[in-house]
Amino acid sequence: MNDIDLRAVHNLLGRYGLLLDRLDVEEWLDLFTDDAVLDIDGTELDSREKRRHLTTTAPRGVHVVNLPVITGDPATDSLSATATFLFRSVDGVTVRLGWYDDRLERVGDQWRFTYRRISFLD
Amino acid sequence: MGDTRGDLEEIEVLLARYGNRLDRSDHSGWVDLFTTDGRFEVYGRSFEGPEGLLRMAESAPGGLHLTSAALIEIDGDSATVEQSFLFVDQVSHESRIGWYDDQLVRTSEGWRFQVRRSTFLTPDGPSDRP
Repeated sequence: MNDIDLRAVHNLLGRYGLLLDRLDVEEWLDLFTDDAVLDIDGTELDSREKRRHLTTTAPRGVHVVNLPVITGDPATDSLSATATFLFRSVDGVTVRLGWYDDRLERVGDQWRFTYRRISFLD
Repeated sequence: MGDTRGDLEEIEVLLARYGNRLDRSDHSGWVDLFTTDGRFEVYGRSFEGPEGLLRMAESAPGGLHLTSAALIEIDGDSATVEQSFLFVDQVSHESRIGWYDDQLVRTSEGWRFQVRRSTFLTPDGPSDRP
């Protein structure tokens, strides 16, 4: 993977948690393609509006994401990624563990989520 | 200048060393991660230069720093970093959460922190103290 793609993919994966933690909602929504699906343990959010609604109902806290495993050939404009995460809510009451399974797509000179599945280790 | 994979990897090592050296009480090694005029902003205070930074490191509570995937933007010989963290206290196991905002510079010895600022996420919102 060339430097530009590697940088863009790392930044995309980093932005997901950071922007949610900071509640930069519109910037966070821009991380997904228009037809993306955010699959939260079987509940599929398949529109920008549904994903925006999630940001108003999800508990606030911090996401700590482990180093990702990125697979695929960027020349196809499509990559897969997976990483484990820990979420701690701001009140300290909720700690959730799990992993992400992602499909990423190149849009212009950016990479976007076209699919992210969140699986919880409960 | 060098918008290269080497820069990205070196910056990620710098970020990893930050928590690693602090957690292992390698205080002087931790100070070396900053420029000589570098500063660390936390608890509403600014700890500046090697002596100020060392004083902060030696008085910091023991524990473990877990950090998330970082957002790194390199512009020539400087870079900005945003990174969420979770700190678990060694004794009480209580945790604190928040994020770092960093300004890095490339020195003759590699990338270093010029400024690292801690923001804590509290029930009342973002704050400079937990």
